[in-house]
Amino acid sequence: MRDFVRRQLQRVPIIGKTRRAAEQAKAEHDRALAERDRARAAEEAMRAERDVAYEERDRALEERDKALFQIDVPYAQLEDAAAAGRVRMRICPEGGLKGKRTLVIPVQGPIANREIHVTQPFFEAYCRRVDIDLQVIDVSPTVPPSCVKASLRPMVEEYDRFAIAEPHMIVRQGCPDLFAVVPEDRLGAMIEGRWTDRRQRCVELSGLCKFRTPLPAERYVNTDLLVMSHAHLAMLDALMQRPVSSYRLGAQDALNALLYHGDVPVYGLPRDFNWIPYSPSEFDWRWAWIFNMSDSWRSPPTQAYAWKPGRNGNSGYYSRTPLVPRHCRLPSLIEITEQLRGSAVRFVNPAEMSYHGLSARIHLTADDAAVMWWGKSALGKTPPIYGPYLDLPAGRWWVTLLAPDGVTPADPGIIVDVVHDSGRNTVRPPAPIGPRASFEILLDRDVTGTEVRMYSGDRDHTVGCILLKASTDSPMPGEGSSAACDRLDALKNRY
Amino acid sequence: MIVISYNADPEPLFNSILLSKHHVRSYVFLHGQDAGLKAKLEAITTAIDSRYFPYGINRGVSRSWNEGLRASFDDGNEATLLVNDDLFFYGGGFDEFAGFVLSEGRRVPHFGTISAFGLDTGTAGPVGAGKFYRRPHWQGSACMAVGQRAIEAVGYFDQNFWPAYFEDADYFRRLELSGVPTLWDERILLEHNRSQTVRADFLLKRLHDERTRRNEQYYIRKWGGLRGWGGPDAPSGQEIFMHPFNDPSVACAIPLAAIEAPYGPKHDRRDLAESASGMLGESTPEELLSLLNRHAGSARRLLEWGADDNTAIMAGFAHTRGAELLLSIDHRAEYLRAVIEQLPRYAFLHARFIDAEELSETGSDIDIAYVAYPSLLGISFDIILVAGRWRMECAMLARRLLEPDGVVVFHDWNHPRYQPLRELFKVVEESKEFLVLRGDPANKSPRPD
Repeated sequence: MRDFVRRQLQRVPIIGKTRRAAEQAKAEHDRALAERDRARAAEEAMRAERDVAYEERDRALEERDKALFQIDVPYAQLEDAAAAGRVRMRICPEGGLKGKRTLVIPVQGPIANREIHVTQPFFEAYCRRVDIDLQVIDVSPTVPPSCVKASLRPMVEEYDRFAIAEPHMIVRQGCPDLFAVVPEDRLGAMIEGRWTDRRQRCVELSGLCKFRTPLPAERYVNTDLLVMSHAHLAMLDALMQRPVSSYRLGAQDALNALLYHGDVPVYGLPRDFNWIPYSPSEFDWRWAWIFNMSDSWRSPPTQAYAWKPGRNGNSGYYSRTPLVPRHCRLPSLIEITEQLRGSAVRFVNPAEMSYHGLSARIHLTADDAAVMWWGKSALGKTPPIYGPYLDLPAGRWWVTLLAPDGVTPADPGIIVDVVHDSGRNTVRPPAPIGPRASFEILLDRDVTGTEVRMYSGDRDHTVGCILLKASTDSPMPGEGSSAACDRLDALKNRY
Repeated sequence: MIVISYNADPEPLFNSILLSKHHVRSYVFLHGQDAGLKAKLEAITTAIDSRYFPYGINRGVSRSWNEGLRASFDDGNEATLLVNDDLFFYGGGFDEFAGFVLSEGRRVPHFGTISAFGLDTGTAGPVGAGKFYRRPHWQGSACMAVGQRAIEAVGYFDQNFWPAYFEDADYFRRLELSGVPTLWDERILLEHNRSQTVRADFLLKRLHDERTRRNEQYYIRKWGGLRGWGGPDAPSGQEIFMHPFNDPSVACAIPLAAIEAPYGPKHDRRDLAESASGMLGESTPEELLSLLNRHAGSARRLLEWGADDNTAIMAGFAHTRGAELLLSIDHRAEYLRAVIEQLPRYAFLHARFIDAEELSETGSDIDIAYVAYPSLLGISFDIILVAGRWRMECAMLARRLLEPDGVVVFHDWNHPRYQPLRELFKVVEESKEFLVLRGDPANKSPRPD
């Protein structure tokens, strides 16, 4: 009966037309949905295919590297390269060199060059306080990593005692005198094998060096901070001229092999003198005199790869490369130094954010800094970059988007919103970040899962890091003394 | 205008009354110790008509309000206002409220209090505006005129409420029972960053819960239930007693002569013997804080063996004194991590986990790493708290690590095995939980027996 009525109604010209149009529209809609699903599936398949291709290529590269590993290093060239070391900065509290102590920071490559600008004030303050010389040395990029420390020999040979530290280390105020802690006849280093599993590495290293008795893991040291004396100069020479293995070892392995082979007495520095966060939960400078970001992540990375621009003749291309912690280390170093100066800040690096589709990803700049990149895409209203799901206490917060240097404001046209609790609560609706790339948000209670979400615009964008800074409830504590005096004078005049 | 300042920036409040057409005399009480705030208040109070009371001690809101009320009424001011330091008036808001108080004072000469309405800001958390966050709300005693009739009928604030909260609820309850009118101005004239003082100060926040709990307990003991806080139109509270402590012989009024002990030993709180000096009794953290305030003049470098509730007190104390180092050593990694996680990221704070059984490699004559670690650093300390493992060994080493005018604070001392301490050190003070010791130059080593 119902069919009969419907058929009859369809015979009425106007009703039948409307109904047919509706059915046609529905069919078109279904076709569009099916097409979209097919496109998505195709995109997924392409992505999977691409990942397989990249993994194959990575395996090939790894094999090539292993092959290269076995090639002997041309040591004569290294001696020339060592001469290329240049003193960038030297602070000598009492002028003379002889009979004194020095801390040396080798700077090689663009990453170290960026990092030393952040950490140098802390090295300077430490050296002034314990009355030792500080030298920041530019090391030529031609010096192989395993020989960087040895290449510093000319800068340390006139000192009775010297320490070598990496630029990504932060020395906290109050850090004791390393030379008073480490006996002069021993080499001071943090024994890494006590705090993290290095057994496999020791087995491999022992094999490469043909040690009859394998290097015990509890003797494997971290070489980012070494405290030495004049007696260890010969060891630096040996590192350059008489390598323990004919294989090309990494810097830390080479030094460990040498220490073990030469039976150099080592003083195990307490871990707080070289605190490496081996897990994200250990990312807390309060455990350390000297905090070492090393090759550690600030928090578990969301991405395994980054894309690096290259040129082939007139055309540009992007190549995929593994993302490693040092690409993202600078924001964390700035965060720590700012916190040590009393600011409540959190710097979010690109590896902490999530990326939607192919239109957003991590890029590496020419000098190996990771940045969040997203293009003008067809994603519509979906934010291509979002995260990092932070838990924040109640209060006012400044959110600033910065360039890779962690200082320069990002493009003011970038559209950003802020939400929390899985996007259920919007703290700031989508809007451009403005000329200072900064805006304030107000959290009325402690919140979880705070997201900064970035939207597509009319052009491609990059952001180096995101700064979240708490506006303090009370401006009184920590107010700079000169600023406070100026304000007091103003107060007296005002009232 | 009576203002108690603890840590909030006083400028927004004083700026908002700067252009008042009324002649305003301020009675400013300083309870905090921040040097910057003190300098700022000195600058402000010397430039305006004011009486300044820089106590620098958290002596309790009731105590300072009572003193301020007395001073204001003695000075014969036309109106007396209690105003919180964490609020400010909108443009012209102060004059509007002052005008309202004066006109209502003429209309209802026997009024007890007149409260303002304002916008509650800060946070929606429990230490904040709560459900009134970003809503216009009755301000109670945060901005309130106190009339002569209130003093005549119910007298002064009950100083058994310390250091803050519930004293105003109690005052309103007493006014209510005495039939004295409480009025309010419903216009939104100000903005109140509610409980900002507590939120902005880690040490206050740390002690807040226990202090509030004790005030709450006392309020319930006094009135049989808590007061509702919805405002003048909201349902009344759960109080059931018509007389304080349900004792018909006790009057609602607290006369001036009785403000120090309003209800006598039978009803007054016994844990407030030292409240005037800023300490709550029968509380280990408060006891430690009080001892530190009394005996540790210099606090540049602090050391503690054994992390606990004490760590928060040590950290808060170090922060207020501008210390450069607090080294906290404990033998329980996860426990220490949990303690440290709750503290602000003070740049001076160093936490160290050292296994209590680990042997030292420092070459020190003490071979327990947990004990010997500080000697490795070549640093001396102004305050050393011994509250963890190997206490006697720690105390022995503390003698060498102590600055000449430094103190050792020994926790849980009342045990026979700790008797030798008295020979090693000069005992400065014995409290319930702690022994405060100074280096005794005469005793550099323990007796051989």
